[in-house]
Amino acid sequence: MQNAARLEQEAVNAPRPQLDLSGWGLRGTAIVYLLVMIALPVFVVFSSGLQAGLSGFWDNVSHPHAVSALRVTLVTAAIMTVINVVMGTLTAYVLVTYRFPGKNVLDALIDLPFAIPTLVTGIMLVLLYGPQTALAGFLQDRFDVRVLYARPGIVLALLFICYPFVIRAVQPVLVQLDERQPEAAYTLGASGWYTFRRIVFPAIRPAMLSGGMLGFARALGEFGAIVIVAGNIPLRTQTAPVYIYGKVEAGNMPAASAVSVVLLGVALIVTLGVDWMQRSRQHG
Amino acid sequence: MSIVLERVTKIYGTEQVVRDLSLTIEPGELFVLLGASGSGKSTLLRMIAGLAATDRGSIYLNERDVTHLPPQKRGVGFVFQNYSLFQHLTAAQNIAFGLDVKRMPRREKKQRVQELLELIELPEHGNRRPAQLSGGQQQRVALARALAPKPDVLLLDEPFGALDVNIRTQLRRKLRQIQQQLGITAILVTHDQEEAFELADRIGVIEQGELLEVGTPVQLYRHPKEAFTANFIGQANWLSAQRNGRCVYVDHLQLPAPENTDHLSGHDVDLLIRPESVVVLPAGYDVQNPLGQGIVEQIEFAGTHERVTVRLENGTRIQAMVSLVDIHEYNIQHQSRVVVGVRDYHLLPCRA
Repeated sequence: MQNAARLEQEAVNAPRPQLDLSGWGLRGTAIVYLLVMIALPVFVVFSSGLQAGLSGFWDNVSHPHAVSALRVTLVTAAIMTVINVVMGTLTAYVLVTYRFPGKNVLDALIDLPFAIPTLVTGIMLVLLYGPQTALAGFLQDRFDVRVLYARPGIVLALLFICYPFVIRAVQPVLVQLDERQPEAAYTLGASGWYTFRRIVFPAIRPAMLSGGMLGFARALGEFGAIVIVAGNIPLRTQTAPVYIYGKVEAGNMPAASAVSVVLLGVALIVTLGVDWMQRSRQHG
Repeated sequence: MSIVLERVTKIYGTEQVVRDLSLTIEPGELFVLLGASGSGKSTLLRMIAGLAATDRGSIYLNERDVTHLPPQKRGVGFVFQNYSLFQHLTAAQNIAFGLDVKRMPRREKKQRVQELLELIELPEHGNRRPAQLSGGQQQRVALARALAPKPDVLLLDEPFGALDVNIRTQLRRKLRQIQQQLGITAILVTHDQEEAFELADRIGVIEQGELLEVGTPVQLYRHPKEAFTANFIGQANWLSAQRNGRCVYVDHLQLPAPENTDHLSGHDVDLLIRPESVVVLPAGYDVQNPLGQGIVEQIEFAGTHERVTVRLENGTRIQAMVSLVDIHEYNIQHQSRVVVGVRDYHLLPCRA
């Protein structure tokens, strides 16, 4: 088995024998396309953000409104990610393990947030939690929680938008998991919870993390839903993308670029992290 | 530790996959459940382990009613066909899993794991992960994992089904040796009659959820009570006959009746003749219990023997196992004229 796997790996790594021109042409096209479409814009933002030198960049980023906007974005995205990982894993587990009426419909509904324009998401949340609705009144009276024009609204909007990420990452791993393994654990005396902790969880942990991180990266850039749900109140509900939009509108490109660079940096680290984890999952 | 099944039944949808099945397995016995795929044998094993619910009837392990206990509380070790080792744990961690559940102290646990690694003859492989072990090694680790918490009963579901023939034979011997050394009661499920013969103290033949017949390998092979058993276990020639007085009549031929078959007297019977009990000699030779003359229709090489098919004058085809020595000595070839006799035969009540 081990040997066969190694041979296969070698076969994959072996260089392709012919060096034909069409191959180089294809490669060249793909690489140039990547550079023009992705690398170039990234580079331009970096150079614009750092145009005024490091101290200029730092001045722009450390402006109280910019710091607050970045903090609101990172904190709400982080809270959303924690909830999303827990609930997404639970949902995926239920979808894979149990049968119940309407399961297929539910399974199809999960992808809906990907298809709905995020502005529409924002409007849906406003209609649901708007000041005159019963739900908003209940939350306000009972728990003293305000959703609209407040940070809970941002988290709710992000949860809606990022709903599918963890589920869709964990679900296939759970499907592939050998169902005899939990059974073996049961015959060895392990309870359901012990089995989940020691057998199922280690198998799905990488998928939970990568799903969560992708959702986090996606949440960093959310604009449409947030601007409707949370408005644009500096130091309170203004997120980094909304702040950047405001700076662009005001013609302050260096400030917009500087905050963009920070967002870009975080997104880049997260993306590389996911990539690294997927690689180590394949090898481990 | 005995295992007693009392009229157990398993129903999937409208189908009874295990039907009203009763069976007693003695302490220390290695019992083989032999049946084709879909016969219900694996389901029965899973019911004993508590992995499948029992719809009717009772299961007793050592006189304790476990019918409605979860698998965790039955004290049963289970070995799966596809090993089902925990992929992210090493061999030693896999073996230790059941000990972790019991919260065994570290030092004691380490010692027990090493003991088991030595029992399965993989003392140096404790740190390997399942993916770094061969199929045979994985199955040995799975066996050690099942044995680690000292279960009262060991259940094995086609444990050698996924392995190469050589490794299979080797592992069977190893399993038998370990089972006898520990004196543990075991049930093994298989569709392979050779495996059943090699391992079993007793065999239970299961078909369509029913236990047809139970006996030692020799009993089932030589004196089966059911035609299904005779056909499932080894090759069989069948002849229609009548039992009368002290004789068995096959057409106009007369053979002495086997012992203990008086209850069949006056009835139509089926005569079971195993190919190795058939004697084939060139025409003109004297044979014991002759069935008649015929022509050799086919000769197939079967390792230690040749499988010879003879077409008798009345059209009946008889299969015989003839040793290579006899084939050469008597120059038996395709289209040879031969005489066929039988050394041993067995009577069953007529099927029709």
